[in-house]
Amino acid sequence: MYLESLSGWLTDMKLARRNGFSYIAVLGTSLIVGTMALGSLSVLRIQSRASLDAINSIKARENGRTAAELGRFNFSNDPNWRTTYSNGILFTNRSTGNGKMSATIQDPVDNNLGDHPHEPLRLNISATQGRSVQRFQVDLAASAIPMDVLKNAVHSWTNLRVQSSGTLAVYGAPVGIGGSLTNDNVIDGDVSATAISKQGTVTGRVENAAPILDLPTNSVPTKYMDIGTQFTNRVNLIEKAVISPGYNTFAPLNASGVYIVRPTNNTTIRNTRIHGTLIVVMASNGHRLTIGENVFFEPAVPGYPALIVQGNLDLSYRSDGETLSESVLATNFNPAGAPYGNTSDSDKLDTYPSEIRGLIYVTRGLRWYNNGLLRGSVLSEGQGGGNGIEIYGTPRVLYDPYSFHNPAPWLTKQVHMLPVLGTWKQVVQ
Amino acid sequence: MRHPKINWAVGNQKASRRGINMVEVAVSSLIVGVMLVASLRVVGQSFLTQRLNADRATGQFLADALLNEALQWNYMEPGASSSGITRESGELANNRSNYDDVDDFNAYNESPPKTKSNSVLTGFEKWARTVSVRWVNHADLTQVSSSESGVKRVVVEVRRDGTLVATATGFRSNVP
Repeated sequence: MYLESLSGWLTDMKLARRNGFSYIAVLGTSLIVGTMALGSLSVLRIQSRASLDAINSIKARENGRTAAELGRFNFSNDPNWRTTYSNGILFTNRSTGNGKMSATIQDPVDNNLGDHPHEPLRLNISATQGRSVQRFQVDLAASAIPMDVLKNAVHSWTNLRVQSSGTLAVYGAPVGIGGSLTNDNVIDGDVSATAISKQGTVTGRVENAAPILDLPTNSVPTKYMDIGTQFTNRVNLIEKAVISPGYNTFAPLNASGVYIVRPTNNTTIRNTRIHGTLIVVMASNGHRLTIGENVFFEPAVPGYPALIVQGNLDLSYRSDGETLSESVLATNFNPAGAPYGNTSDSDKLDTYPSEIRGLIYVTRGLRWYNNGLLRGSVLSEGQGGGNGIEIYGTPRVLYDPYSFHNPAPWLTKQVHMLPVLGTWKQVVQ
Repeated sequence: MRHPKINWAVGNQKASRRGINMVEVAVSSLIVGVMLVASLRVVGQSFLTQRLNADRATGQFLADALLNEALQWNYMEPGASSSGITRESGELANNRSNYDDVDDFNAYNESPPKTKSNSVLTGFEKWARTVSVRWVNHADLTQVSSSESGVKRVVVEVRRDGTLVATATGFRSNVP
């Protein structure tokens, strides 16, 4: 009986184990399948999120591109943007309608945005879309639109008069007159005048009632003074001198060769070589600067003016058959620091053309005597009334289109900032 | 002769255990059934999600391609000093091969998508792209302007089977 009971108990136990096992097996399998299903759901969720993040990163890049475009728009539509954004912040968290964008700017040359209108710019952009944040950097280069006046070889914003003793010869571009032309003798070349009082003899095409061309927005002398180095002393005579970025006995050196002279009275520059930009600030409206005898001026930085005069200017230097001669003047015009054609020496045997190359800018009246040659152009604001330009001699102006194609700073209508090819890059923090 | 004693209690217990076993089987079947349905739903959802993700990626590719093409063009008709948001003579609504400024793309609609040279892109028969171009206020790019503002917004929408799957937005200013 005991054995039978034991046998029955064992049978029960087997049945119980078998039943429990199948139940556990089903539950276990279900658990595994359930876990796999939940895992799959998680994977799906991750995949969706990854897909969404990938889309967001693309859209963030679109927002970054928008930031660059909006920055360029601001630069082109605000002539004073270099001072407006002097703190370097262009905009913060601006909405594109989809995401946000922020941008800062810096001057990669000298970290000073306001000192030069043509210096390049580095744009740092942060753009977001959803959880995606993209950072970019792109360099922009200045593309200057020249003032229309730079199309002229000679331009007076007021009247221009050719005296009976004078002949003005221009080659390659017209004489522009914003006021009235009075020609008592000959203009050899084209004329484009707002009004003509007396046409005289003009060998080229004459345009009357021409549109008045704009003056520069800013004071040209003042702007160049901001980047120039002033002479230590107030001199009224500069002769037998050499001035260049690497050589100047009057002032500390300026890398661009931009120097400022503040005379106290009438002033003369003669028998001098200037490889740079000279700004002469006359002490009063009655004073005049005279450029006389033989000179050789050319800017050190291509496109910069050669001579800027805040006041009145008399050009009476001579070119025809004359040179700036070291031996005649007993002066070495190409010492170390002031090479000519990459050559410096210590002798006094060289000769240089007696001429001015580049742009001459005058704020008041210009009187032109003798037969000076200018390879470039001359602009006169004619402040103070009267004639902006008066021709007494027989000067010749050979227009150099370089000043139009590469306009000088502050002689531009607009400066666009264009992305530099190959500088757009993603920044990793 | 002794007959073995029948243990009725044990027999009843066995019967009872077998009954519970059936319940277990039923419950197990229910669980398996539920799990099967859930798994099938997961598998179905998986396919849907993968297709959605693929459509999103494809759609974004198509949207960006057309947006990039539009933004490379001039702000307005070359040589013109002003213009509305409109196509000029010779520029067709359904063929962008001779488009030359951003606003030529306004109201451009194509299905299936085409290349710039107007060749149909194979494999995209169920897809469609539309473009809208609007002036916007440069101080607030979300504000549409009814007149010339110097900034144009280009929005490309991509649909598959009529369902919007991707958009791309870009801006073109009047700066050269």
